[in-house]
Amino acid sequence: MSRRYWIPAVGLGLLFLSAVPTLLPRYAIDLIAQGMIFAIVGMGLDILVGYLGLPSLGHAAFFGLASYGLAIPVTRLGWAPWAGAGVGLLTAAVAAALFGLLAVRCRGVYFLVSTLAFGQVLWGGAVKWTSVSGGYNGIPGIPRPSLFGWSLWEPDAFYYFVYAVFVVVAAMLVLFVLSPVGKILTGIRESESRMRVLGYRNQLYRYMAFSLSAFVTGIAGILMAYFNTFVGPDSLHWSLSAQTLLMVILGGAGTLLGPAGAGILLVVAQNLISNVTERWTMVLGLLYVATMLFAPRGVLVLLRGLLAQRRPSS
Amino acid sequence: MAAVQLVLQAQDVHTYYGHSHVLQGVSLQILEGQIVALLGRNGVGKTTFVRSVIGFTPPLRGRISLFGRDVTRLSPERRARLGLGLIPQGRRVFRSLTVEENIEVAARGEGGTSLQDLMEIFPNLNERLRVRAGKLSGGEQQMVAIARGLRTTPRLLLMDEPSEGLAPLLVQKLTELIRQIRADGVSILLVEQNLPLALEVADFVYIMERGRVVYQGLPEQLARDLQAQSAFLGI
Ligand SMILES: Nc1ncnc2c1ncn2[C@@H]1O[C@H](COP(=O)(O)OP(=O)(O)O)[C@@H](O)[C@H]1O
Ligand SMILES: [Mg+2]
Repeated sequence: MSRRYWIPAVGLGLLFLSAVPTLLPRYAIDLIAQGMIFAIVGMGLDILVGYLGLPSLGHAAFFGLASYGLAIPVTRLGWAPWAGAGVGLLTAAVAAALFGLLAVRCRGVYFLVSTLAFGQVLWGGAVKWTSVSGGYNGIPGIPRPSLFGWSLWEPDAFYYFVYAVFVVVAAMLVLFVLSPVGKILTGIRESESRMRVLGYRNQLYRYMAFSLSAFVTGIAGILMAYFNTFVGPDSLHWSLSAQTLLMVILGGAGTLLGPAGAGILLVVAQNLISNVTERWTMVLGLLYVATMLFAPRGVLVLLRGLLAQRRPSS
Repeated sequence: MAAVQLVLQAQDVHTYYGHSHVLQGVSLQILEGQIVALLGRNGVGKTTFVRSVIGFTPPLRGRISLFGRDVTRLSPERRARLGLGLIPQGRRVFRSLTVEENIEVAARGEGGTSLQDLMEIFPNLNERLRVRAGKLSGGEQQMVAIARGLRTTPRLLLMDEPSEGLAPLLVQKLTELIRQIRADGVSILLVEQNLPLALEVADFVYIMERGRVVYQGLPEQLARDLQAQSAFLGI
């Protein structure tokens, strides 16, 4: 799709998001902040799914690990909220660096199963190790920090904090996928053997991308812990991983901004629909089936195709 | 004697696909600066030999040396880094990358034939640098695959049936190009079914039949040997 369409579209989207606190009621503002947090997860996961062709069912692990890594020192040891954020990010990064050694050796369904197992082991740990994690009750009372003298307890300040992180992460990831390394990842996804013939150590790039993807997801985990001021084992559960994977597929794997948009819209949709019916997961399932039928490469790619058809000349 | 270096030496190479014994003792060598043609009908094992040299199907028996170094147990990426390049059979481009990205990804951050120089060789690609390679015609894709092979500046370039499916005019261009590549100091293994092309550029010719080398000699010699041509190439 030509830049003529997506640059204005992204600009309008960002403009709208920046105006949300002045336009919408409190409830909707929180919802959209939450949507942007999921959008960050969607983009992080898309690096894995869309650019390496590795579908993960355990990405919630890095999300939850970052949240717990923040919550435990802050609530139990009295550390400052920012220091806790550092610990949380470090926890996610170290876990990714270790698990990545194994994960990048797996392909297809083996990758799916190993990531699923990894996530569920951590979930089990969080449920059982009550003295540290609080078990099913989780850890409440996570404080929010201040930034440049603005308390993030202030709802609008928190919204703009999430907005800023979202924009920065999105910009960095767009630059990343457009960089030579992004092209190398695409090359590896298309043909490992062709890249080997060119002298590339594919595993090294996979490992790097896996770690980056997990780290970005960890950033979202930190934001979510501040947002809820709480973390529980649900943040590690495979059903959260599955939802984020669906988000990437619905938005269009390999488009980066598609999964980001899908993240925001799905959180909003989930809330609207939950007011009407209890069967949110069923609606999500139907959405998924419809996407597979009508837009197997994601909604964004479908839109691209429709726009291209309306403009026959290149 | 020591002045001439062997860029490729394959000795008694036996390669299998599972239980299927495809290469049954192939020996072949290429001297520095030479163009060596490997001919033979479909399915005799030419591509399998190329894959053995690259390292995708390492031989179970035998030895492969590149630039005087035993590489039989080396991974394909390590062999590539020694200066081995491949233009694979069947226009293998990265379809979702643009023409420029297809070529630049081969540079691996190092030097090599510059994009500019390549565009002088392939002027018709120059206008299509920003087009996704998947949208090109077959002939153009072949050009991209060749340009990519050259971007790495290999010391030895393996070309697996580069003329397959090319229009006569492009085959003529390919002939000139192969000569030019050699003039730049690159040795070439040219796998071909196009006998006139091979005879025109090669310094030495091998013919394979059912996994074995059944003929080797100078191109002039094969050009006169109609009996060998009909027996091994079906001409
Ligand atoms: N991946 C494979 N698995 C099993 N057999 C193969 C494979 N590739 C090629 N072969 C067989 O090996 C033989 C040689 O094939 P190939 O090297 O491609 O021949 P050529 O390149 O000379 O046409 C053929 O009989 C072919 O059927
Ligand atoms: Mg072949």
